Amino acid sequence: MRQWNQDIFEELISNTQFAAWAKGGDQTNDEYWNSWESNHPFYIVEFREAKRIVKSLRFTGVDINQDNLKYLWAKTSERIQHGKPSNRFHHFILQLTKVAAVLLLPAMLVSAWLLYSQYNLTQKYSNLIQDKHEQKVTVVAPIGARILVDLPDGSKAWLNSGSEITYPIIFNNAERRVNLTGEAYFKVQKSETPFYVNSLGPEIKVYGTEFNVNSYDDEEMVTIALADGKISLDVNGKEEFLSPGQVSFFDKKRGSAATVNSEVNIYSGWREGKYIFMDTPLSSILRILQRQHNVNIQLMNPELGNYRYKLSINNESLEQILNLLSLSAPIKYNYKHKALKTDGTYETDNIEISADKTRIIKTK
Amino acid sequence: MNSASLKSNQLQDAWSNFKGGDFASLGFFFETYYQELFYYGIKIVAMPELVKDTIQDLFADVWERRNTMVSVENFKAYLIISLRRELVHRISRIRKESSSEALTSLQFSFSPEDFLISDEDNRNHTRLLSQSMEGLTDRQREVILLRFFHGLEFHEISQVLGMNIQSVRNLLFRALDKIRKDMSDQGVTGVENVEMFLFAIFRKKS
Repeated sequence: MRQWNQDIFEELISNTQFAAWAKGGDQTNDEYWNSWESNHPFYIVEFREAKRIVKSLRFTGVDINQDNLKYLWAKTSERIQHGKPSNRFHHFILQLTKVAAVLLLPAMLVSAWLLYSQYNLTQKYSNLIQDKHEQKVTVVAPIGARILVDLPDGSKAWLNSGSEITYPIIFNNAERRVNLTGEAYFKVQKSETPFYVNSLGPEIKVYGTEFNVNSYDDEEMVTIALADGKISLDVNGKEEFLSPGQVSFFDKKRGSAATVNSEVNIYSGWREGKYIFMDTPLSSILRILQRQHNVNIQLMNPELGNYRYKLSINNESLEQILNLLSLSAPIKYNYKHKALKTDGTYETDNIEISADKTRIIKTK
Repeated sequence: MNSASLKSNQLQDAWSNFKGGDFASLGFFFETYYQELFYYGIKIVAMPELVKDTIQDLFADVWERRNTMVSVENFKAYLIISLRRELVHRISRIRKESSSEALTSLQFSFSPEDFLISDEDNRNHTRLLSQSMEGLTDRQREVILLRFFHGLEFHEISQVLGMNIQSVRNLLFRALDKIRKDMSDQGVTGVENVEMFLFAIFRKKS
């Protein structure tokens, strides 16, 4: 009797097409394996045994019907899309903590070394600092976000959404100068070195104080409101001083400024999400809402922009505010939620505001 | 529906849609692989609710990582590997033991109902066959399941079990050899009785 050929047997068991065929049910390779069998009479024992083994090892599996599968998927997709936090996440945080712990020791060693070599560094720093006066940093508060910027001299600037501030990494000894587009509230550290704010309006000279600058490029006016201390504006070469409680409106087109006494909180309340509108046209309010909520708002009837509102907002949601707006004037809005673009990101939400013809128009 | 009966281009289409961010395609894969994953899961640990939960989380994870997924050819193996790892992890938490201990206590036990028997039952061989099967380890049972039920290739099985390909081959063929040898020692004439043999073994285990 000839020797059993283990290699051939293993070869067949390892062949996935063979396994699929030998199980039965897969007839696509019937012809091939039937002819293999008749072409290799020498290996007929191995062939039949391999086939028999595969056929024996057929598992029943589980039988879950299609409706059940659909139900299970519905449950799973709900879980995925409405993000129930998984254990995996907590596990991840735990891992992170472990990593942090491991990193702590080297971090401490590095700090010790840094302290030790501080003297050295101070020397190098003073050389380096010369270059740093030239290097500028730009901080941007994206649409829909407010951020607090710590300036190199310890002054603070709260940036309203869609605003941008540029300043040197280190202020030089002669002056502290920052550039602003958009809106910011400044709390300037008292110092001998003058502090300047350049915006679309007059240059502001500061003597240690708190004030708000609104200089968005889509607003007609640059508004500067002084809360405390003393600042001066360079209006066409003439230095105009502001005292606390005063607000200056600079008309960008005309290049002229007008100063009035007012409630400064109206102009700086945005830091806490508060806006107060006194007889403000709808178009101005909408510009603010667009910046705060990163949406596009379209006035379907341009004359609606002239409606004037007396309104106070205190962190209400966008929809709540839109409701308020449409309550006190005959307008309606249509909120179009963002569509998914082909690259997987979302479009900006669109809101259309139009006249509500079903309501009686009261003219103020 | 068995995944093996699906045309590969059907899987391929669903895969490219899935990579393009089509959520419905994830549903297609879910419905395609769920039964296999569930069966494998309850063979690892007989806790159906835990297995269901884990599969749900697994697909949530797959969705998050869809950009890093490489190809549909490795996808089933990926699911099996991830399911096994996560189940071992969860069992160890439930049993308050380390995952290596949980790993060694995996049970792959099958009852007669797990097998399709085509031939007539021959009771004369059952005792003999079950004796032979007692020599098989749980790992050998698992490798048989992965190769013959899930249809995984050796390199995929090697990833599931965390051993090299040659060891996987040895594990499987030693198991099959043992079945055949025991039968011939007892004068059983070869292959015709393998089915009976396996039937008996798995019934013994239940």
